[in-house]
Amino acid sequence: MSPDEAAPAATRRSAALRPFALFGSELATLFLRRRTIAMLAALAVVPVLIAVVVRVTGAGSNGRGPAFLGSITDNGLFVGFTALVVCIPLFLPLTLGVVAGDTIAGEAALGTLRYLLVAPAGRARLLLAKYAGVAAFALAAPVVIVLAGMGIGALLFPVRPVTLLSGDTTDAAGLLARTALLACYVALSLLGLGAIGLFVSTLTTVPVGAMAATVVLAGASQILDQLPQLDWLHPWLFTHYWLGFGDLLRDPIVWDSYGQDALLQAAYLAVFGALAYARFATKDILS
Amino acid sequence: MTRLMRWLPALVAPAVAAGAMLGAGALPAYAGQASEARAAAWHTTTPSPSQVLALVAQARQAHYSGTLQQSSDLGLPQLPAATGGADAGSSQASGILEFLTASHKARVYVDGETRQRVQVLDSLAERDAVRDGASVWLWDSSKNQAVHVTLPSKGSARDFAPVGTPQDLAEQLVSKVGTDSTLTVSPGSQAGRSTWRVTLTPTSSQTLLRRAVLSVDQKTGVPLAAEIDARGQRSPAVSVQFTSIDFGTPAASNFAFTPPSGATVSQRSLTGRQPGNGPHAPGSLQGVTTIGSGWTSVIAASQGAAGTLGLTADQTRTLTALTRRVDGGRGLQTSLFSVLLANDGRVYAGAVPLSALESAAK
Repeated sequence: MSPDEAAPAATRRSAALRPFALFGSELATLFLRRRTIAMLAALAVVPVLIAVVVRVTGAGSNGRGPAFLGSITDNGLFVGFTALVVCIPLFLPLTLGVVAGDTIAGEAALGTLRYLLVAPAGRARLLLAKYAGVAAFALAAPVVIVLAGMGIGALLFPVRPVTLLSGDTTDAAGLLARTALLACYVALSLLGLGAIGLFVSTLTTVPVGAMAATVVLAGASQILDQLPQLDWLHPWLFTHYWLGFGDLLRDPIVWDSYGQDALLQAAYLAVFGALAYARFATKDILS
Repeated sequence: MTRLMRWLPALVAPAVAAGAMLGAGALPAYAGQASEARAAAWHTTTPSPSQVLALVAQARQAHYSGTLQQSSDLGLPQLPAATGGADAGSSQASGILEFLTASHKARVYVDGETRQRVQVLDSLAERDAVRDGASVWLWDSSKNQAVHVTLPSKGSARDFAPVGTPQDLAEQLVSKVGTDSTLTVSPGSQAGRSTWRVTLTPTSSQTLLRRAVLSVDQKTGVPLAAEIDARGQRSPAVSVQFTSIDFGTPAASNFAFTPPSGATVSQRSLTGRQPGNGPHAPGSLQGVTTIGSGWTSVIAASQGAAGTLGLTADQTRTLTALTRRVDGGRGLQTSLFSVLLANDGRVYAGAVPLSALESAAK
């Protein structure tokens, strides 16, 4: 059945006049939700925790621990980068998995999915709006981590021009540009996982199951990426370029991983987006 | 019917995605082979090996920048990369292991003979060697360490680089060519450029070395790839290749290096031990005798194994882990060379099977 055909002409016109109404309401619902706020707050706690621990113990890292940890005492701005390195393997996919897994299954579990589909939006557009919410969260999460990290770092440690991996230093404008690129890179890297989560979410009416499946897939992909015996598979894993954001901290910037990551994530988006559409458009909505 | 139509994108998307990824060079090997065949069809007059090697010698003044991919497959156990970039470089011993088992990506800037820069792009870390005239800076971001070396008059920053460029390997190749190997030239392509592939094949079948291939750019003579194949192994034992190259003059800012504030800066004189994470070449030992000749020759170092090699306790432990007990000592067998640490303290090494070293030791 197609909900489009059933829509009265008047409401169809209003949808045509305000094509982004659904996206707007979806974003508002997502970011005003207490769970989303709590997850972003939890992500912001990570850099605070790192900074406070380094400040209290006062010890350098002697080259051990996550990347950039040793630079924190010298320059507080590195707290943001260290926190990103810490968050990327687990916390970011975890929170994104919750958001993506909840998209369709959450509405189905609450019994609100059929009401959403009564509105003259069409299933494809609802799916797009849901995915836009996931993408917005994928961008918001790294931005929150980096900003919280740089803020707490600036409070607790001295702030200097940032030393890049290549040994050159960059000024405030350069740092701002690179940080913005970096947040976009992390957001881009999470798009594939978001599409997988969206697809899994159309398969079930139990949101917890979709969330868990998404997070488990992210973990499994990272484990496969660690095994050198499978190196032919690595360029195809959606987690493969997750830590490639280091290339943005070189001078001159290396764009290879940005391009490869974009291509890979676009491929995952195409495959799982199409799967999600096929499943959602042919599904009988019972709740 | 509409049901099927809705599944159609999901059926088409994987094929399109895979095609786009392959087409855009996510797996450059396939693309390389295709263009190689095309390049082979163009050329009819092939130069002699010595003409190609002369072309290489002329390329010393060339300027270019590009991305290098280095990989080794010596048949050593591979370790999971879980330790990450910061840990991998934490000790010299694991540095050697990392060099022998992992692959590296580096960016190279060359402006003539006196200005070079090699950036080894590790994950979330970087090692640099920057040379501008007589001044050479070595930078390791994971250790936050900069070393300044002043060259006397001759020398190249590449001697200190953790990854050798094709030029280095080309020069080593030229010096190795003798009556015990044959050289052939064939057209090929690398990084989108037409090349001459100089193939060196040892005449002896006793050596582990199957062949060495050097790809030289036809126009500029800059070596674009070097590959060493071991007997009985399909993937190259050692391979260094430009995946992309640009023959424009690199910006001068690439050769300027100022150590950042907060970094450990040290000066080093050239007479001291050379830094770098490369494995100790057997030829650099003291008191060396050579048994046999050509590719099957065995190098024997006379005095105390660990002492002569200058190994630390940490490195000795790694060595013990890598070697296995054989008749008369401990042996290390890789796909390309083997090393025998005899019980009497002598060290034998060569591009031959371990059994040949054992018989040489007797």
